[in-house]
Parts: sequence; structure tokens; C-alpha cells
Amino acid sequence: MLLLFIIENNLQTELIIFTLLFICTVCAIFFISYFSSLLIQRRENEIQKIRDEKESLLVRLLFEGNSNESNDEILADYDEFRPLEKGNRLGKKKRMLHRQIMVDEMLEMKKNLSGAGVEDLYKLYNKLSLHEYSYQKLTSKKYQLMVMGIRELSEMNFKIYYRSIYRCINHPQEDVRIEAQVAIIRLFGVKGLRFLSIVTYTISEWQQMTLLHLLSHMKKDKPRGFENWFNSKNDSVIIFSLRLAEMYNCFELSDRIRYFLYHPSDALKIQSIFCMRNNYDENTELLLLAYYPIVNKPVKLAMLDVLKSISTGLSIPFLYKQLIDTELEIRFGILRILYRLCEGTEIIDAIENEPEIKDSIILMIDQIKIEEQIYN
Amino acid sequence: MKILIAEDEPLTLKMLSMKLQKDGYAVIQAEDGRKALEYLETEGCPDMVITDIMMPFFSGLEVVEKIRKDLLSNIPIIVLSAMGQEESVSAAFTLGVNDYITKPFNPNELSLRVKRLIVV
Repeated sequence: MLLLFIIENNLQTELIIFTLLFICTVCAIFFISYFSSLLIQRRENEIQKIRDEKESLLVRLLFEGNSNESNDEILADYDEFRPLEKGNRLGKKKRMLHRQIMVDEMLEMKKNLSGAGVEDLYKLYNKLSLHEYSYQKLTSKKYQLMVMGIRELSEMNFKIYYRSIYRCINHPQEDVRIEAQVAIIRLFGVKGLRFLSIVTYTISEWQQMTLLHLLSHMKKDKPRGFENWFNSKNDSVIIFSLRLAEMYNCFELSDRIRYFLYHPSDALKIQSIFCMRNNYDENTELLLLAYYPIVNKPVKLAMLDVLKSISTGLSIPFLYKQLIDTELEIRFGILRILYRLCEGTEIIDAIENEPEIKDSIILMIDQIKIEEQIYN
Repeated sequence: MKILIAEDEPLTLKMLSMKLQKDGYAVIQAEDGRKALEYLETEGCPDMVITDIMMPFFSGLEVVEKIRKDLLSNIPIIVLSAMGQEESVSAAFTLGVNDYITKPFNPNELSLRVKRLIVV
């Protein structure tokens, strides 16, 4: 009636219809978003409820029962851990959700456990056949699921599927590749490093750090296979194996490590120089000094960094001559070594005949003194 | 024997409670430092305290300080923390804790350490 009244009053019909439509649309959007948020909230609450339930179940299984018979009794009430065919009331999707949450809780618990606690967790993962679901994920076509599957199997120390994981070492998707390499190390320690012989993709700096960090927490057995890795066509494999040689103090590889000083790649040269910091003998210092004049700035800086740790009085005359270098960064590097080997005043006396660099060198020495005070 | 556990991670709290209950102790749970201090102020000292360091409101070290300095109690205290650095360990021992366990921890080992301290 109101509408008719307005129309009768010669207002524009289209405008009214448009306004009404607009109000309806806004209301519809409001109700849809309200109900969606309600649904999301409900779903989150449901997941939280399952999570709490699984937390309690896990704690009961590990600490209350912790024997096959008592665990069977506890598990009898949970449909998600019974075979599907025996009149299981739980749907396939719900069953998967319950099991996934159980695995998530196990991974969370593993972070705080060690020794027998972790061993019990592995046994439980096996007993509940959760590895079957992890394996399903590993064989999925979605790379995110593959990553999850690989992580679950390796975190739970499940070695049976290692071949499938090993096949992912050269997976085109980087995340899968990274997870597979980490998993192989997690499962087999230094022995797992044999994947370096077959890896074709570049191992990123971050990945190398991750693998070294993982290995640093494992047994200190020396890896085998440096011969293959040093001959690899993949430069990142050589760099990583040089880092390994440094980490495991592979003194017997000193000659091979020095050989990389003559490699065309700067990255390899630099890594071999850093590797000499831990694997050096009486010839290393002289070798670096002899090679110093013919290399570029980044390699020189690496050499100076290592010389700072290993140099003796033998380097002093050579380093004084290099102080005329126009690159301030290099001059700083040289002065840091000289400051360690002789007094600041000695350095100033030695450059008395170089008035154009004297002032800057005095400033640098002051700076180095401050650095020394801060860091020591 | 009553043991107060102050731990903000629910899963670890449940795990510790279940383990110690199975060993025959009565467990009081505190989800943060404030709840632990509230319990100590109202109920007095239990027979033992196991506490994390990093917790909301009050840290585990503040809980230890309260027990040793304000309540003047000598009850055994175990710190269970992911912080394994020398400074944290020495700070805890300076305040008078009896034992320091770093996470990840072995529940059986914790159980033995609790038993040893309670017997002593």
C-alpha cells in the first residue's frame, strides 16, 4: 500500500525498485556472512572438541594404559580406530579428520618428549595404523599432502616407506624435494646423505642450513661418499659436502678441499677456503698468501676471514704490503688480522711511509679496538 | 603426596599429570604462573612443585622465588623448561631449585627424579 502510495505520488519507479533491490542484497549478504561465520565457528568448535578428546586419549594411551591389553580396552570406545567394515558408524571423512587430528597431536607431543616417551609414541602410531593414512598422503597428487605425508612418516620414524620418500628427492616441486631430503636424514642420519649422489636440483642455502642443523643433533659418525659428491656436476652438492667436511673435521680430505681453490666458481672457492679454517696444516697459511694476489674481492675477503683465525707471524710482511689496497673492506680485513698479530702502534709505525693512507688506518684501528672491547 | 604442576602447554600438563598420578601422587594443575601463585597463597606449599619457566602472567622463576623467599619453604622444586641455556639454568639454581630438566624430556627419567627428591 505504501509502495502504491509512493508511485501515485509520481516518484520514479525505477529508483524505488533499485533501492529495494539494494536493501535486499545488503540483507542477503549480511545473512549469508552471518550464517557462514556461524558455520565456521561451529566447525572450529567441533575440531577443538575432537582435539581435546584426542589429547586426553593420547595421554591415556601413553601413560595410563601403555600396554597392549589396556590400550585395546581404551580404544574399544573409539570408532575411528576400528576397521571400517565392522559396522563402523563413523563416516570416511570424519574418520580421516579424527585420525589426522590424532597424528597432529602426536607430532605436537613428540616435540616435548625424548627417550622411552618417543619410542612409545612410535609404537602407538604403528598400532593405530596411522601410517596407512600418511602413506596415502605421500602418494597423493597434491604436493601439500605429499609434504604432510612425508613429514608424518619421518617424524614417526616409520622406515618401511623409505623407498617412496627417496623417490621424491628429485621431485619437481621444491617443497616436496626439501621435505624428502630432510626425511631421509631424519630416518637414516648421516647414512641418508647418499641422496647427494643422485640429487640433480640445486640445494638451496636454506635447505643446506636445515640439513646441517638436523645432522648436528645426531650421532657424530663421519659421512661416507665425499669422493662422489666432490665430483658432482651439481655445484650446490659440492658446496654442501665442503660444509659437511668442515663440520665433521675431515682432515683426510685436506688435499681435495684445496683443489677447489682452482675451481672456476667463486662460490666453490670461497667454501673451500672456509673449510680450511677447521682443516688446516702448516702449509695452509702459505697457500692462501700465495693465491691471494690473483683472486677477486669476495674470495680475498673469505681468505682474510680465515687468515684471521689461522695466521702466524709469517703473514705480517705480506699483509703490510697489501694495506695499500684501495678497497676499504679489504683494508679493514687486513688490519683485523694485523691487530691480532701485533700492537696497534707497530702497525702505525710500519705505515709511516704511506702518509695518504695513514689517517684512515688510524681511524680503522680505533674502530677495531672498539669492536674488540665489545666482543671480548 | 601432593605435587603442584605449573605448565602453560595443555598437552604437556595433561601428560605430566597422568604420569605422576599413575605413579601414585595427587596432582594440582596450574595453567600459568598466576594460578600457581594463587594456589600457594591460599593452600600453602604442596610436597613438591614442578614448573615451566616461560608462562603467562608470572614466570616459573617468580614462582620459585615466592616459595623460597616469601613462604620460606624448602620443598623440592623441579624446573622443566625448553630453555637450556646456561643463564637460565644458573638463574634457577641460584634461586634454589633442586633439579632442572630440559624439554624434550623423558617421562620415565622425570618420574625417577621426582621419586628421588621426594624420598630425600
